[in-house]
Amino acid sequence: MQFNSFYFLLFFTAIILFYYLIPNKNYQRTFLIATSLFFVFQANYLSLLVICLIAILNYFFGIGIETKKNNFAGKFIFYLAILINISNLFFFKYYDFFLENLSGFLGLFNFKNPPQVLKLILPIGISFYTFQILGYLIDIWQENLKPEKDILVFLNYVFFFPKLLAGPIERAQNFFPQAKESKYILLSNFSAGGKLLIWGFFQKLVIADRIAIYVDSVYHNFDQHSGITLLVCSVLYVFQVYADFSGYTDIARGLAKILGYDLMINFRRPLLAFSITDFWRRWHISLSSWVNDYIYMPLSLKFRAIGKAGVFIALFVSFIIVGIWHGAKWTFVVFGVLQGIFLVVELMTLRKKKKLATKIPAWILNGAGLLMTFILITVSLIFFRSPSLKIALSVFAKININGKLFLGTASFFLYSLIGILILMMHDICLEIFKKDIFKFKSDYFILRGFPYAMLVIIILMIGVFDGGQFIYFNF
Amino acid sequence: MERSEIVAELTKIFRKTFQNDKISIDEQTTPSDLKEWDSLNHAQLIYAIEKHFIIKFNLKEMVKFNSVGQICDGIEVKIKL
Repeated sequence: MQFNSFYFLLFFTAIILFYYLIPNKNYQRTFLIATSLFFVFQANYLSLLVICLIAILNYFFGIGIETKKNNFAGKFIFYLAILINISNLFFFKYYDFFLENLSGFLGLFNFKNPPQVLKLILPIGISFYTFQILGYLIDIWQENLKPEKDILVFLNYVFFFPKLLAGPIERAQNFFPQAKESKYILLSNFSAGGKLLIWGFFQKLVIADRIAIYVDSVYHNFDQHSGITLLVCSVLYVFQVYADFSGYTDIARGLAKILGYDLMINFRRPLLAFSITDFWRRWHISLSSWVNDYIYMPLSLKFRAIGKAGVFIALFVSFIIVGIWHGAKWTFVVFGVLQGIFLVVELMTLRKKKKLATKIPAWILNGAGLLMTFILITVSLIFFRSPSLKIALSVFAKININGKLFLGTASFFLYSLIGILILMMHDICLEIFKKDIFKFKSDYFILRGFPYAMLVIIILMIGVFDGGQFIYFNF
Repeated sequence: MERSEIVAELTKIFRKTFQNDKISIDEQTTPSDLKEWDSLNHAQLIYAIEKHFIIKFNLKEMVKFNSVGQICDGIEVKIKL
């Protein structure tokens, strides 16, 4: 059941009606859990079975780690819990990839009976809730958090359907207090949630899904297209991924807000980043901050005795994990490796950059940084988009400014540019002037609602309503 | 060692590690107060502190260091041992 479907609209309307009629907070939580499980059930039975087992196991693991923390049993439960969660993710997401590569390797030695792949279905949301649960367990182990003993609160944390499919990867410290409150109808929640929904759907339907038609058609027979087409396609893909994922996150946050929950912000104008380091503080923030707190920081502290080399190793390993997290393909590994290389090079050249900053005007340095970051991200996302390494390298090698540009349908460029312009104006105004261009201060509801009404009209006029699912649902 | 002495020593370490003699800290200082104190420099700062006080922190202790005050707490525990 996709967020951008009429069926979901009916489903969510029905949920709100019943949800706010329930007076007791425990019954409200139970209803929300049942709703979320129904949401999972709509996908497939395997997803439902896996998430239920994992949630119940981890509820008891969390309590066990805390109860036995002063002896070996606590350590054993902690490491067992980590192993089970990672193994579960590995089995469903990476086992076939591992076997295919092992078969390829064994084939070099003429091994006659390669192991058979299982062609497993990927349970929905597994990458997101696995990381979420791992963070919860690590926080308990490091004594930064007490385990949640109210099972309804814990299950709500794992199952909460607005964030289940593609995040944000919520922190327990942010979610638990909210999950313990009774929820009442608040006009402010409906207003704020509604605005997030409209903006989210605008990004998805007007920008992402329209660009997707063009990008998909170019990639379908990329070798027939000119260098300039591949260049333009690659640049447009950056906006497609951004609008798709940011749009999904805003829709998720909007749904959650209407239900009385505040989910974390996942994007902070990443295309206005001045460096790759800055980019990863603005893009998929719930993932990058998770990797920072639970992988990079422990590794960099572990290697602190070897100075900068320790930081480089920690960065590299962290971003390989970021790449692999996205999927079981070599293209994602290369994506991660590229991020690691860019970050290490940035760190190594930091001193030179500081010296340059004393000689060159800030606007030139920042402009160059902005452009360079955009170029590096565009290159990285070629690997993100391409179905194979071979195609990614072929596309990259073919890019130039020669040949005839493929324009697609007559309206494509016009409508895409309108969407991208609105998106970038929104981001630039927030970044520089700290003002949201859609928020008018007025005592009159009609004036306050006018920008959002315009967005709805644009969505209805030029939105793509038969587009595909959100890109990050695949992870 | 008095708390104020620990903060004075930490000030020297912060200035040396981040190569900025103008840095001024107190127990409430957190990474958001100093642009140099980010995740890329945090491990080096902790290592410099360990070398200076001739102590060694474990991972559970280090991940709690989100302010100068928390670092002082950690140093006091190690010095008393």
